[in-house]
Amino acid sequence: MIDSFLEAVSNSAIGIYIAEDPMAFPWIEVVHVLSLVTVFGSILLVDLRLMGLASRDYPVNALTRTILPITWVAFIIAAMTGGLLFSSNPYGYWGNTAFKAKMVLLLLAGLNMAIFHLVTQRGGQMDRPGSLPAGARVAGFVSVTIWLAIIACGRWIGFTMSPF
Amino acid sequence: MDEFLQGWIDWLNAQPFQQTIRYTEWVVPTVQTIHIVAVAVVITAALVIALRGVELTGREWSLARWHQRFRSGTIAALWVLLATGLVMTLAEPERELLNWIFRAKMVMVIVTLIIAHFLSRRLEQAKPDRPAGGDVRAAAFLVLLCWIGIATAGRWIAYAG
Repeated sequence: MIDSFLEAVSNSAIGIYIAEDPMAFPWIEVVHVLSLVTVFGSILLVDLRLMGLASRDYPVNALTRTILPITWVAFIIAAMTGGLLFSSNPYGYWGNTAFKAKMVLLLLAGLNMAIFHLVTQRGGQMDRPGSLPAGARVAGFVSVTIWLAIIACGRWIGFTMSPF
Repeated sequence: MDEFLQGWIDWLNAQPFQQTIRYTEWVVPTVQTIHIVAVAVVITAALVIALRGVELTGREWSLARWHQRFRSGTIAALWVLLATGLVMTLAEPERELLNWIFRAKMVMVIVTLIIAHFLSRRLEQAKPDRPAGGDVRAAAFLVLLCWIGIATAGRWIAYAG
């Protein structure tokens, strides 16, 4: 099943275009990197607050309400551009360990975020300034660690495979 | 100018420490990862300041308070960018120093730092209970656009020379 998926992506018009056009891959990669740094930077803002290391006088619920829309917009752009980059060489990416690690880490980041929003944040104590429950501090630490690893894996992809 | 730089590049490439940085597999990817993390800190700060200026985000804090929140982190990230940038240039001096995009990027960095410095001074003098003036909002967006341009140039160094 995965082989037929990779073959379909590899033979798609968009995949062939990105692989063959000398400007397409670099420009898509620029947008991917810009959106990814925005995802990481905005999540870092929230994570540092969760860990109690910065913005302690900004209530977490208010901070997530105002910052996470930026994160989501940037994440959607990063996912779309990431998909386009993947389409230029699906077999190469699928066979790359750093790429697979990045995908697993993205799932773990999503899981950590879901647990925080559905369990920890609903547990209360997020509408006031100051330090937060241990669950929130742990969620912030886990999140920043995973996202650092995601960026590292993204960079390692560039060093362990040819883009085209 | 290229001939003068080529002399320096040849000298650098003959140094044992340069060879170690260049050929130790994990050094350049690790330094690039740290560079990207620092870029994230700088661009996010510029983005939030620009969006706060037009009342689109972070209304619980004034623009001056957001500036205070980001100031030390951005300065630290800029030093990290300088240090990691130097290591990357040492690792592959010909890729950077002979590349016109790298040179354009450096000019843009200097111009952006000057604009950001003046923006920072205005925000330090700003009264928390007053909305930002049009010039401050425009400067905040200009700084954001400049950092985006710099990051774009940084990625293009790998593709063009």
